[in-house]
Amino acid sequence: MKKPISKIIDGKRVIVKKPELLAPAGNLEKLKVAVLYGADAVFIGGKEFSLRSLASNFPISEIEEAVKFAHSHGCKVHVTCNIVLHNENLEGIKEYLMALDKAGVDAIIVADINIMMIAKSLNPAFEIHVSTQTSTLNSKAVEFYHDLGVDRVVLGRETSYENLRSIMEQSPVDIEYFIHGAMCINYSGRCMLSNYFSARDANRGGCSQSCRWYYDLFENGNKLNDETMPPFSMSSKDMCLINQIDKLIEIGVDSFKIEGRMKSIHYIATVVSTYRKLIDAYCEDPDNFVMSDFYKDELFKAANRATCEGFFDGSVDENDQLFNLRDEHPTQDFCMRVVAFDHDAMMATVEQRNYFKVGDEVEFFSPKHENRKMTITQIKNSADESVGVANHPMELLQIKVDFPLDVHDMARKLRK
Amino acid sequence: MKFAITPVNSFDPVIFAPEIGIWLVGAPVFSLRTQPNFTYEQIERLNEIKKDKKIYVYVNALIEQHLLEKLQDHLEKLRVMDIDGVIFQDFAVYQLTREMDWNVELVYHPDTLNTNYASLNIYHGLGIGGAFLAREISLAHKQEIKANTALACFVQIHGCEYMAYSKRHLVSNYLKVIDKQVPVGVAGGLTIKANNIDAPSHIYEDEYGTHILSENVLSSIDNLDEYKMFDYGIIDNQFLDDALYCEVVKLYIKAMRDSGDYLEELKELDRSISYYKSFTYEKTVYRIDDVRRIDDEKANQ
Repeated sequence: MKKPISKIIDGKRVIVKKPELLAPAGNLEKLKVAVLYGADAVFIGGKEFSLRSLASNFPISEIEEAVKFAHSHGCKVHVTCNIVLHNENLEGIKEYLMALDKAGVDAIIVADINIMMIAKSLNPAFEIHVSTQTSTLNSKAVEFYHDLGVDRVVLGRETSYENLRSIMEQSPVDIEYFIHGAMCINYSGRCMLSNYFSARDANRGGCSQSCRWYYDLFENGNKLNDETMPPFSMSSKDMCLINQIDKLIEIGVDSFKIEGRMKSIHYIATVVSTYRKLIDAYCEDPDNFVMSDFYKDELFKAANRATCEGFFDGSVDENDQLFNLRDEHPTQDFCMRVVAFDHDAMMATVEQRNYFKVGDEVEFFSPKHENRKMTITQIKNSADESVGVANHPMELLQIKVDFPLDVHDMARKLRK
Repeated sequence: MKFAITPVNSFDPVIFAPEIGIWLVGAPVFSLRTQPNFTYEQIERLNEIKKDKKIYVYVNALIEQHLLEKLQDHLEKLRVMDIDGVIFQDFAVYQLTREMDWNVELVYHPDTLNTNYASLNIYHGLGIGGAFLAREISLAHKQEIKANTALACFVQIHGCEYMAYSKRHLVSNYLKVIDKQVPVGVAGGLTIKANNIDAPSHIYEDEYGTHILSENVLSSIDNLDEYKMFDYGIIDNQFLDDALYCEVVKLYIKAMRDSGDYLEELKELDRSISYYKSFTYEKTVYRIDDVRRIDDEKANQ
């Protein structure tokens, strides 16, 4: 029996099956930001058996710390164990999974059936999520994984809304769906361009992103592109389903996944807090919810590629691809993060993250407050000397502010 | 090892040679990277003439939810024909054959994912009878898998190699951007080549999306002995015309019967084809230290 998605409470319909907001975290700092900015769950990679081998993944000791921190804030931790195993990777899986279990992780994300079965044999309660690397696109394949004892399937990004809705009606397990972030141009797990072009194994985390390279296209040996044209490329715009969240909530999708373990803390804070606010606002009063530009405007304050809605409506075309890799859209620059606040003096101790100076207009954003703008009037260094510019990365500085701030608030420099 | 081939010419006696165990057959729907895609009537006819050969049909598309009903109809048709095996990569195929109570031989062929024996043994325990080993692992790696599994192992020994599969129409999309129109199907003769990488690749589209395959052709005719432990060696026919393909198959049969140096003879069949060993004796890397080492080596070259 499926749980109801909404109920009438005090004469008003409210969403009672609120989707999990699942955020990426490439390191402990990013994890804390994701948790504080509103994620219900975070996914991280361990040092072993995880894709994104180029991200700064977590050793077991840090996973324990991450779990403690996340759990203390009511947030779950999923650990990716999503490489496709080779013979040489077969040793040590059991010990690694036991360590994850002991660390208290809530779920593992798995692509290889061997890891699924080992995890279940170690602890039947171990929650297993089938990775998008399996490119699962239909309810029968979901059933196959259910019969193996898995708890959740992360669908392939090629799944349209109509197909998703049909899968949701039939799925015996939780369904996780990507709502934001980069997209593979090819079916996940089935792309070997990196292997062939750079001897780097895509399915074990070494992907060289060969799809985003420039190519020439030939017809029977004759080059079709010339210098006046963009070169052939297979680069997808990023996915952004900010305008479709209501529909996804209404069909009961269990988890909304944001991609991007390699992304910055500013990106994570911005994206997570925006979706958090949107989901909460919609679920509280879905029938009177009015979508505003605020959410989209907010999202695009973080640097990202141009976006599209992926396969949401069933098809993609040339407008969903990037033919110029420099098509990034940072609308505002992340410049500082609050590490302490003196209420009496109204001085914030901040960590410099990008150049700013006296006279700059900045916008503070926070998991707790609305966005607030002010002009920088005073910056002091650690010797308590006034300085005009903040140009040393990670330097601790003090700035005079017009309103109270909280630790972990961040600021962006507004462009003139 | 027996050969698994595509019976492109049912009048050529080579397809009945004792060295051949399986006919690999593309069907009207859900068959990827197969040439040709036989009609149901043609598959029935092949079934009638197959003698001691087995017919395995490719049902190797990834299946979207809205296509499940069509898949079920397709599997029903194949069941009526009493074919011997189904080659699949989407577990919907596995589930549906089980629901149909159809005891057909199932061969798991996800192109890239069969890279260790422990996982294959689990599939074997689920009733799957065979698996295509990933192409991107070394021969020694494949041998280690076969030595540790009772599952029937299929390995590609000849032909262009699969590299990627996208749901998108990547070529058509690009042609719109550069405002050109050329045929984008398998016969279109389209290739791509990455800047500074000497590895041209076939690219084409069909109703399932875009497919990318190596232009270089894997050949194992001079090291066939090393493959003898496997159950089936696949001689793939993508991008080979039927007459040439039959000659290639004949040469492999000759090499199987009498060991010798047949590489020159193979090259003689079509001098325009570039043969290579692909990953036969090569490994890929993924750990950051190995990636950096390789990048440094390239930079210092």
